[in-house]
Amino acid sequence: MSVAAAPRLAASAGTASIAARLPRLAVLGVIALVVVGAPFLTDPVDSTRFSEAIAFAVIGLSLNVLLGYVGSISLGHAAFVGVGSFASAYMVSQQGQPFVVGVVVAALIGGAQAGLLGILSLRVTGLYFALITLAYGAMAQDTLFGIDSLTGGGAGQEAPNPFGPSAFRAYYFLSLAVLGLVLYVDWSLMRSKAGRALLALRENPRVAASLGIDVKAFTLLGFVISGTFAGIGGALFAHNVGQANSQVYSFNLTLIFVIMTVVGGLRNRAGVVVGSALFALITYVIEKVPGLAGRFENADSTIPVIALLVFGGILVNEAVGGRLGQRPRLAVQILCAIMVLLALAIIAPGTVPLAETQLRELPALTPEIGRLVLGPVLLLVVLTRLPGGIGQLITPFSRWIGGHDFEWSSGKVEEVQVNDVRA
Amino acid sequence: MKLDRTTITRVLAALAGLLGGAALFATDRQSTIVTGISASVPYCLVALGIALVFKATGVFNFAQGEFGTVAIFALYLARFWFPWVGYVGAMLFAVLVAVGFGLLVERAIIRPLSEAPRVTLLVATAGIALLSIATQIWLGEAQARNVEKALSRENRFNVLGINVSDQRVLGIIVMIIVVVALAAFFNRTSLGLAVLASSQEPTATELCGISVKRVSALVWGLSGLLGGLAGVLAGPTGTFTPGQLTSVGLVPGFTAAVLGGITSLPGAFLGGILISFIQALGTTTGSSIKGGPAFFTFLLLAGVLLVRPQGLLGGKR
Amino acid sequence: MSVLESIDLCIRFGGLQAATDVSIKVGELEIVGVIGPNGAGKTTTFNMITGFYTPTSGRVLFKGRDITELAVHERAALGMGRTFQNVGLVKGSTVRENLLTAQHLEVGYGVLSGMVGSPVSRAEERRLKERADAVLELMDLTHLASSKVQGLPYGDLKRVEIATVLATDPDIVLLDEPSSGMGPEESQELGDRLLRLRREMGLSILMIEHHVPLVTRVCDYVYCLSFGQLLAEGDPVAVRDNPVVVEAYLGVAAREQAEKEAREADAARAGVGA
Repeated sequence: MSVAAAPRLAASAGTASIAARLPRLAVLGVIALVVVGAPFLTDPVDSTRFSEAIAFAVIGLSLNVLLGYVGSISLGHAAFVGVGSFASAYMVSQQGQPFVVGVVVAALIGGAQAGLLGILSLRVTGLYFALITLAYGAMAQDTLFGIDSLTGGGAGQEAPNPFGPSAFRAYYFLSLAVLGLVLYVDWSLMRSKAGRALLALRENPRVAASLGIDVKAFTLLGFVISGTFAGIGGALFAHNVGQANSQVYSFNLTLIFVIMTVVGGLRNRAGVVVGSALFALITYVIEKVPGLAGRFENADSTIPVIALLVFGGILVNEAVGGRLGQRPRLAVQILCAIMVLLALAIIAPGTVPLAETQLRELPALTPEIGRLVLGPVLLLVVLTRLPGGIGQLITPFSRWIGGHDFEWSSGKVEEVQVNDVRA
Repeated sequence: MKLDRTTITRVLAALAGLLGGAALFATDRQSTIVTGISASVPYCLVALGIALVFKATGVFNFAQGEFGTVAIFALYLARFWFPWVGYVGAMLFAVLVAVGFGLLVERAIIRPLSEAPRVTLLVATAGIALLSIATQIWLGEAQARNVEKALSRENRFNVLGINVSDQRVLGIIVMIIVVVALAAFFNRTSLGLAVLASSQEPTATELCGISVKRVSALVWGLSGLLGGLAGVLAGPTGTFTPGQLTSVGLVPGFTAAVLGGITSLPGAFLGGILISFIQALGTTTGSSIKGGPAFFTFLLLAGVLLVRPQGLLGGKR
Repeated sequence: MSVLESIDLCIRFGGLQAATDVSIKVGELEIVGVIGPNGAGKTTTFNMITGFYTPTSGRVLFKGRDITELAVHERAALGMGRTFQNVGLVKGSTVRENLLTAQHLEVGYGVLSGMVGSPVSRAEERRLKERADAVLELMDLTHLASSKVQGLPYGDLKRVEIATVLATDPDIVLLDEPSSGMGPEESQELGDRLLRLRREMGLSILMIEHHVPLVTRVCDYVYCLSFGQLLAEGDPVAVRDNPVVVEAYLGVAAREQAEKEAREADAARAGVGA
């Protein structure tokens, strides 16, 4: 998903010669080919998964504006998105408006709602504001989305595909275009005075004020932009699924949004896009890779797979922490030992005297749950070890494509910085 | 937070105001008042855990609800796997599991992030909560379960015409003991003072010979204990699903803690009772609004934070 | 007409009276110093003048206009710039980006125009970049233009901060301990630079300082604060030697010593004259 790489090209054209640019262009071409060609290399239905990934990417970008640029935390982002979904669904299915109008209304209402919360954030700061967004999200799901006339009640509100019920591929390209637009506006914003003002007020509001920046006004602007993007993402999401249903916009979903944005890497557009798409596509990938899904369905294999994952995770952790080759810590050794024992108990019954029957009864780790489990684990790894998230890993590549030399540490981030202000 | 005359007066005044208000405005007065008090156990305990962790470490613990859910599951499993320890043994096991969870979280996540901004820690605890819920769904599927109560008699106590089950009364008694014990701990024991000291001035505290690491572990273990008690006492009163205490108790718990003044333990207790009332009110009076409790809670939280951010009993932090 | 004037500023924090009747005046193209021991209320006064604190009583005038009610960013818009004790910069950005941010008020296009990337905004961005580079050259910082602020050595940070403030095109800059962390050579350079800035950019300067040689060399007028009150004011050397000021810094014994030396100096002069 390197649509995001394109803006970076112009932002920092490096010093490579024409000859050196050829391999870079080739790589860029391959990525573009994959992104554009994916729908044609797979079943038409699969394109709905890709479209969902794009919707997630837009949502991730919207949360990135709030979390990464403004520095305000929202624990009710599912509500921002849901508002957009329902607004668009309502406009199209109940008011008979074309899709474009639906998206525009979703954007406007999303922005307005976010603006209201933004006004609240001016009075209530930091962690307390996080609480308010949490309560708001809970309230929205129960009360706002419970207004049956607007939201269709339990059955949800219909949100039809503008190209027709089965035009999955067409919808994918539409989503791609919308993502491109959102990326452009985001990129343009951050290069302009508003973007600089946001970055300044996030990091150091006192200094920002002394430089003439109206902190309150720009904070509100950031909220409105975030809500607008979220509304658009919500519309894309709903019309892809075919309906907007209040069950979907839960606290769990908000957590997934926050996690995918932080894991993607704050203030790193490419990272956020890739991270969000990844979260949306994990289940798809597991299903498609031959043999992998089978491993999850069969409980016999679940434990060894988990053991492998944990092993791998520990190895990565140790490597990133620079401890590979040294003697592992006691806790690590114990953990590894337990994992090995469990795996043996399943694979080779009899070697380890354990009550196998109960272990065998463990339910399968379905891809859905896999995502729910993997998400927080990735989050915790990022928070403790890889503050720049996926973006930190992508930046060396995108800078290389842009003409600079390849440098592993160019994406390095000191810590996951949201906001300096304490509650 | 001293348990002195002013505090006690304020607490009693607030409670009186609450009862009066409920009596005047509630549609189903008896139900609102009785439910408000008897259902307050999980809210109070969750709020206490939140206030404790915040007071001692400045962290908003989003996994507080999960400490409770893990305890409910542990209780359920204990009754299933080894019924021979008896119910009390099972409760003990469940609470110990919750304490263990708290200690694990402290060691594995909180300590490495001790220098990070508080918001990062909030996100981390949220991640832990999600991981816990996901694991429960994985291992137990998203179905509702029931675990038997400690005391099953339902009609021994009758207040204002409404039956209050033995289980709920047990919960209230234990809760009051816990609150008094906590107050005594913080006000009178040197260990309690050490906890307060290390929250305000970790470096100086270390220099005095108090291990900040141990204090941190103690605080999170206590928080696990409170969460575990919430799960064990309140869980059996109804069915439970994965993430039970988070979906039911986290937002109200936080609201309660903030209401009471997030650094005040008696405040959290008071806030818990208040929130319980609001929830009861939402169910009875606000029944015409979908999701009445959530709506009222949101209004209350926004209102309090706008008008009096330090809550009822909180001082400046 | 004075550029900046504070009239009887007072502020209380709970039970602590942090400033009482602080009246300071900075005339056009003047460099005025504010000295005093730690905790005297110097930064508090700065905060009141720039709008970060609201005084309990008193007024602040800027070019004759009462700005006591204005917000921080509004005062900045009028032409007041300031530096901070712990270096006020956007550490996550580069030096040049900081200077671009500082030109916020100078920007000739609207927010929406910037968001769509209109040709007007692009042209304006180029102009702002040129202005930023000009200021960087003035401060000998061109070689650091693309460096991230985070990680720069302390001395460079302070120069970048001054450059950032200059980029806001102020009429007066309030410097909070500009020479802190500097050795004697760097202080000398700083003094030269301040004098040059006043000359070339028509700047007035109000500065909190501890470094006495810098103050006596550069300032036209000095105020001494202690415990939130004005202790003395006037010519830098006179204030420096004022026994009351000496006592505030060094205690009673030092004051008596200073008075003794002053008497002996007078006697010697009288003796010589006779």
